[in-house]
Amino acid sequence: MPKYKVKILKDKCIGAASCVGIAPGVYQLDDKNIAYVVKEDGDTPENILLGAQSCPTNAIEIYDAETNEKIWPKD
Amino acid sequence: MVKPQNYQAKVAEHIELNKKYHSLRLELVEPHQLEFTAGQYISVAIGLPVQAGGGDPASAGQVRRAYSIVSNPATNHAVDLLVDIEPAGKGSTYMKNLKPGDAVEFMAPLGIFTVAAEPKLLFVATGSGIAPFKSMLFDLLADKKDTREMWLLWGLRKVEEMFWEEKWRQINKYYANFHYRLMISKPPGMWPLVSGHVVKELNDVVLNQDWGVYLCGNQEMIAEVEQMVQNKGVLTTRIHKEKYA
Repeated sequence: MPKYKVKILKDKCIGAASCVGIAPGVYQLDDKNIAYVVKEDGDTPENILLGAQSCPTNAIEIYDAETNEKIWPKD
Repeated sequence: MVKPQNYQAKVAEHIELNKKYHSLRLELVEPHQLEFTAGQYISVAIGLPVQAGGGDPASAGQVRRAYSIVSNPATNHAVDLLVDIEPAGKGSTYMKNLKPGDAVEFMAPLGIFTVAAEPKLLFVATGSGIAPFKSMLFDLLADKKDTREMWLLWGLRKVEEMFWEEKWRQINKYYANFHYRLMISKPPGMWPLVSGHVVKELNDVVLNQDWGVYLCGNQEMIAEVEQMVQNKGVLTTRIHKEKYA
């Protein structure tokens, strides 16, 4: 079971692709340059979180898959 | 592109360019070198303890802000940043208060806003959107001796916000293939130089499908210029945008 659940806020994504640079097995850009999740456990949990943290607009939310607690961004 | 990683750095220089814009140099500590492509950015961890014993480690890295790298890739031991401190939010306040010697952590290199192989290049910026273009243009002109035709249109609101003006003028004089216009949208009454908006200035530039257009700054400018250059025949695939600067 993946450690994290990943949610992309598509209206916030500006296609900077920092997430793709860090965890390409999880994040990719579609033909409109908007991020989407390829595979939720396509990289290490550390890289999945780093990919979300690198987003300049906080367009990626990370949740604990077991508890559903929001890991990133912290509100 | 190089895989991003975390960097520890120290503030080597902090210059107040004017009341709105500050320039910072972060000297890399570990790793001590950064390979990047001109136009990329870093993600700074806001809220890290900036001095030994200070700050709140519990909040470390909880807030991040993106800043384009101003320096060119040839300088691989440090990164220069341009910060608009006017928003006075978490990021700009943190950056404004950094002093030489303070520790900073960031992730780099990030982003895909880099120069492609178009035959002619047009760069349009408003405000701090000039940051990635300084890296790109110094890299192209000074380091790579690129002879493609290049135009830079830069819009600022007020005369008091001007900076780097002399730098661009010198480059404009030195490189025959580089052309530069600074536009002030809210000039004083007797302002003798060009005033107006970058969008208006674009009316006079002849564009076609040979041009690659690079836009960085406020969203209104980006939307307006994107539409305008498309109408002038620039291919959609040759319009590159960076919205957050």
